[in-house]
Amino acid sequence: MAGLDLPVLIQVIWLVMLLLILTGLYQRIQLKLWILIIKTRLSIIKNVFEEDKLRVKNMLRIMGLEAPEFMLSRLLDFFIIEPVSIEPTDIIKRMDHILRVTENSVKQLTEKALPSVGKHERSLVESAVSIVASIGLIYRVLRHYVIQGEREENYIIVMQLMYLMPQILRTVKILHEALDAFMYGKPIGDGVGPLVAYMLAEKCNVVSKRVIDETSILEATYRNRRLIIVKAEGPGSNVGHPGAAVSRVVEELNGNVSLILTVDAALKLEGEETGLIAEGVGAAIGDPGPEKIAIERVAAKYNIPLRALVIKMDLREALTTMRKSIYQSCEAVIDRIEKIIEEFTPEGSTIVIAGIGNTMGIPG
Amino acid sequence: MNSGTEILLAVLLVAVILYLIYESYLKKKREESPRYVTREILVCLNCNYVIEKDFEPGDFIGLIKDTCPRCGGKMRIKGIYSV
Repeated sequence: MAGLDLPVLIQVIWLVMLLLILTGLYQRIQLKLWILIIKTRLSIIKNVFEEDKLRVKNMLRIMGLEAPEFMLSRLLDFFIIEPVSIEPTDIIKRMDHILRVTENSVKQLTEKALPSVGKHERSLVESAVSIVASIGLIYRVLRHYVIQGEREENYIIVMQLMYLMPQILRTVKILHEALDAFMYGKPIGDGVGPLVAYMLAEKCNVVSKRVIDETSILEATYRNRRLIIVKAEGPGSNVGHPGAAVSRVVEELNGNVSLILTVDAALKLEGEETGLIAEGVGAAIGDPGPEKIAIERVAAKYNIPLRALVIKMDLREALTTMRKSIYQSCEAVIDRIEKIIEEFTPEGSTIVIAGIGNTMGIPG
Repeated sequence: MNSGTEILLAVLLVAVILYLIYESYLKKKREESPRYVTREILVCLNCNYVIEKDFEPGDFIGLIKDTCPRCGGKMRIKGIYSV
């Protein structure tokens, strides 16, 4: 029998490929390959989740909790149900209530489990657990869609998962890196707002300080003006309630405020430099709604100019330990604040400056 | 098409497939994100002498710790960041 010719072999290969395309079998082969790749990546996410769960368990054991598994499983499976949005009346009030109840519930759980641990150390535990819970949620949702896509041979679901996988993996990696900062109380990039507020307070002559609702309100004088500096109470992992605090302060002053300025971290676009400062209008605060709307409402009620300063960074830089470039940009932000104050407010006026963000590692 | 050309085409096809596999899967494993270390700046409250050292758990900005190697005064953490 004559051996197989190369041209004949190539023709057979082309014929097989044509049959696969015409019958749609290539799609099934691709589906199987994609599921295989997605499962490999899913196992990476699972390993990250297990590793971080173990780290938090060890953290809890060091803090004095002998059997952290039960407490951890309660917190990892903790869920929040969104308020009804088809009826938007008082949705902000309902959302604020749900968020506060969530906060208090988690605080009570950790306080019961770790009664001898200080408030700030407990806040680190709460934040570390929430990071692990986020990774866990990503893993469970992905696993759900993989199993569903495989069972139903749903090409579209699997294709979307395949193309979103790099972004999801990057997010999981960022959360994994962020756990280190939250376990040891290191300032993160998102803390640039509170850090600016802290540095500004150091420069001013602070007259009084009070803490309301885990938020510090400092009154100071600076360049013949009265500054009310608002930031979350540190140095634990805390974002406070700056919106409620600003609203309260402005109401106490009957609206006699010349300017409300919010300072926060913002996600940069690809190609932009980290630490870039941008000015704008509005409330620079990234909460689900209640805090932001409180600032906007009080500014609109009394016709107070609402300005914003943001420091640009990417998600990794926002959640992990603060980069040196971001730390160094704080001085430039303070210079910009001084300029805005000089340009837009007369002497003798009152200015409210809110440093928005997680104040971990930053006291005051 | 003579057999030499066919073999060349087949080799070229295999090379393209191998390159695509390399670009898609193998190359990414080599791109590692840079490792960061956390450092803190301490400033002497007396003589403003500045030192930089590694972060220690429990430290936060504003904490008074260590003594100044120059004048013996108290040092305060001015900043914590990663490099």
